Amino acid sequence: MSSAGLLERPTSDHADWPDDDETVESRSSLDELLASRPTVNDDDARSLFEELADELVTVTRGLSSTRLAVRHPAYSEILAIGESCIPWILERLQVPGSRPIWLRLLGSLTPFPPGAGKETIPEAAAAWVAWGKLRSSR
Amino acid sequence: MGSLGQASFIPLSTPDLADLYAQYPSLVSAHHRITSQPTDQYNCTAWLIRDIAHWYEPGIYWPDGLPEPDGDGNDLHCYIALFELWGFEICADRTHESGFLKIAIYAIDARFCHVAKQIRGADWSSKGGTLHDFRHDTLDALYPCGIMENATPTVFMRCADDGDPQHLERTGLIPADA
Repeated sequence: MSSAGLLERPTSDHADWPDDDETVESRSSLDELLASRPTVNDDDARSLFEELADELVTVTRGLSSTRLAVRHPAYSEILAIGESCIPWILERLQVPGSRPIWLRLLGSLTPFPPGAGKETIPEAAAAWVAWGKLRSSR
Repeated sequence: MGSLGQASFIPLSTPDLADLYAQYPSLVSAHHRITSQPTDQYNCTAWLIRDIAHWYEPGIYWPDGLPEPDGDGNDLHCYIALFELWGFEICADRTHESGFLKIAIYAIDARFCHVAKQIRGADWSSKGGTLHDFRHDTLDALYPCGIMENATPTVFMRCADDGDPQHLERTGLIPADA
């Protein structure tokens, strides 16, 4: 089983771990996307996120492969909100029901694998929540 | 198999069933039976081997040594390799064959979408994403489905059914009356 966890860099052949060049390129693209969006305050961003997240849940509940959701507009728009939505995703991750899609989103917003190198969905969710607490305390 | 549109004896909430039927509208008019509560802890791939503790998907939980998705995000080959690891082999079609039980892989181009498993009596069993397990009499009952609307069964694999209940338990190919 893939052993790459949240606190260690996965091996370079991990499919969800871009190499350095790709990281720079995707970060640049994300920055450009963010810069092109109208400035919104936190309340507006939160409201937008909740709306998009509800839509994403609705359209992906029947999916057994979260990878298929990556092309959905709601997924892309959540990514465009950027890292500020990570705490809100982590909130959603603490409620069973649609955890795989939140794991996939976290994997897209960070350099870490969605499954966090864990065996089960509850374990992966717990690892991400712990990571979020550690991140917010810094 | 339950009667038309009938849920099983498992108590289910109306919102849950509404979610299921919204994702699989063709299921409403197909003969089917709901066999579990909804859960996000395992997916259809895990259901093949009755592993209700894992969500098998590259990046989330994926056995070491198996192929990973290619640069275009195609992952059908990854799942075929996983099913071969579990003892399945490619076969021609969905038709029930004496001595074998089959699986049907739904895909869009080279992207995996869903897998259903055949049970004795030639019906099928599926786990619908983060929703329920259910039995269905046809593979057509699962499409269209939400954003994988165009996914149809495109690859079929089979595994020997030697009639041994322990073997069936181990492979996840359960008798229809289990």
